[in-house]
Amino acid sequence: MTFLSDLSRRLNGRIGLTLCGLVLLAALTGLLWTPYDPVKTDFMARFAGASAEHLLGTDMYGRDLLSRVLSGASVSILICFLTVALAVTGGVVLGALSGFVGGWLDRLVMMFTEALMAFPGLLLALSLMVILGPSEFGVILALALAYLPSVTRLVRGTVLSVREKEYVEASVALGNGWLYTLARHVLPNCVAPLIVLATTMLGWVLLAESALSFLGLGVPPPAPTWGNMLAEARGDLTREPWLGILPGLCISVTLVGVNLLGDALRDALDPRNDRAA
Amino acid sequence: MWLYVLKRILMGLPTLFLVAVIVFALVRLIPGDPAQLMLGDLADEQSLAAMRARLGLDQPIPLQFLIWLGDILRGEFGHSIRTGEAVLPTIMGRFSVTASVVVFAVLAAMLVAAPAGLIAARFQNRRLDFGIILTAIISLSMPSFWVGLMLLLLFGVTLGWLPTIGYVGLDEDLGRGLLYLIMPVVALALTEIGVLTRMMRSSALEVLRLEYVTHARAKGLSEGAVLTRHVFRNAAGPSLTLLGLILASLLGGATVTETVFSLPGIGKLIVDSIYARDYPVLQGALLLVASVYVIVNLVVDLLYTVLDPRVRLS
Repeated sequence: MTFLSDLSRRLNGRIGLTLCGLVLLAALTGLLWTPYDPVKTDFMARFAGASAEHLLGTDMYGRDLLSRVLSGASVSILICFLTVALAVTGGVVLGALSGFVGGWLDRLVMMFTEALMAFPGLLLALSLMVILGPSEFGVILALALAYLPSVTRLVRGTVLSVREKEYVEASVALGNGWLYTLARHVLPNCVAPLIVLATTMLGWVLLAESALSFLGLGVPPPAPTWGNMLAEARGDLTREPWLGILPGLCISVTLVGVNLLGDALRDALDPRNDRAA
Repeated sequence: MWLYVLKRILMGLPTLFLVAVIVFALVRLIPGDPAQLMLGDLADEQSLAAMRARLGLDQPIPLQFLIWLGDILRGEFGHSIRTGEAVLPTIMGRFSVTASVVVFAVLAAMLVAAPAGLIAARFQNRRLDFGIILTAIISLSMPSFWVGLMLLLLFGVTLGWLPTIGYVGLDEDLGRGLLYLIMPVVALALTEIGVLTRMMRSSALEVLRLEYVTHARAKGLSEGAVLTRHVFRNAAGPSLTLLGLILASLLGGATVTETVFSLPGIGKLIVDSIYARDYPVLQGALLLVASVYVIVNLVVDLLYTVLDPRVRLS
């Protein structure tokens, strides 16, 4: 709780928390209730402007845009969280083993992560999506694999830097097993940088998921995500620019929130910055 | 120092080998039979088997990989299934399109970000600083493909100032070529301006605390001279590394922007060959993109050593 209040004392933390909170609220709403069925078409109400019935108007199939934006938020945000959770879990296991065990295992893992990092994340995910086929599950797996190397390297680096510390040696000398020592004394050092990385990664994943869906290789329609809403709007942009402006705004506002929150977290967790900015 | 350079280059080789393994595995894992794709649905079993044998698909997988790697090393990337053209000239041609967009975008980003970051650092915690940071965050938060679409809509369709879709090679017609490049370059540069400005600001902040800056001011240098000659020089390092990373990843990752503007770049080629299941092209293009990343990183690393004697010594 002191941590949260520390965050909200910073301006970037305050704005970041507010924006992220709003997006989470939208996602939660979209999960539980939307004004209309987000995939129900109504050809009598195509391209309707904002009105009392349709607060944000309707799209080229007469679907209610507010419902689609809310429902899209829940799809995208769920994908983001699951992807980051998967990447962090995998990365912690791989990085911790690689850093703590060392030797050939370390060399192998490092070579592999370096090779994976040579592919732009989106291209790697794109190729994986072709293998896995377009679906929510495929997006999560592909993006988690694409961002796994960053987590692995971070955890390995931290583990390496504390492995030789006295308290770790002391724990081993006390007769604690290496797994216990790793979990109890080494890994807690990774928590702070991991929180910062995971927050930043939420942004990367949202961007990549939108891009994949935009290219038609992400979440398949009619299920709405902000990315495939943008893709579907492409053909009708000259007729109704709003259809393209709205999903892009949603992505941008979310990313501003995530980036500000990430900055604030970095400031708050960095022991060199004690003063609140 | 040459020993270090040699060592660094040798260290890149296993990575490149693994990159080749990953590309091969990725493309082989894509469901679908290339022989069926080439001959169509009506082909009988016998001609399918003959085609598989011609493509070497009847060999065991590790052997297939070795044959492929051998071909690559001899510069033989095969032929496109879709068009029948040789892969290597195709991907090189497409790559040069991407390179021209990306190089302009990165240059533009640097020209804006370096002064913006320096000024923000110089006026830390003042209104100007907050303004610059906020602009940077907003600009890096907008997806470049969305910015691209919005630019197309505004300057291409509504105002009609710029050509909307297509591409003219810079070597064919420099003036018109540049006109087609403006919007893609701006769309790509905007994100990177945000990223680089923040990096420049934070490294300039660290340098501004140091004593020789106070000394430079004390000896009567103007603030502009202090910033450009002393602060910028010493703060540029991390931004240079980041610039290399950006350059390398954009060369392969400008995919969505290229799709938005229908630019015939390497990213669009990769997406198109994924849709068309054009394995030889996909393999070649992915390999090129990842190798460029490894090589650009290597060059940046080495440049760093040349520019900064401290790295060389340690």
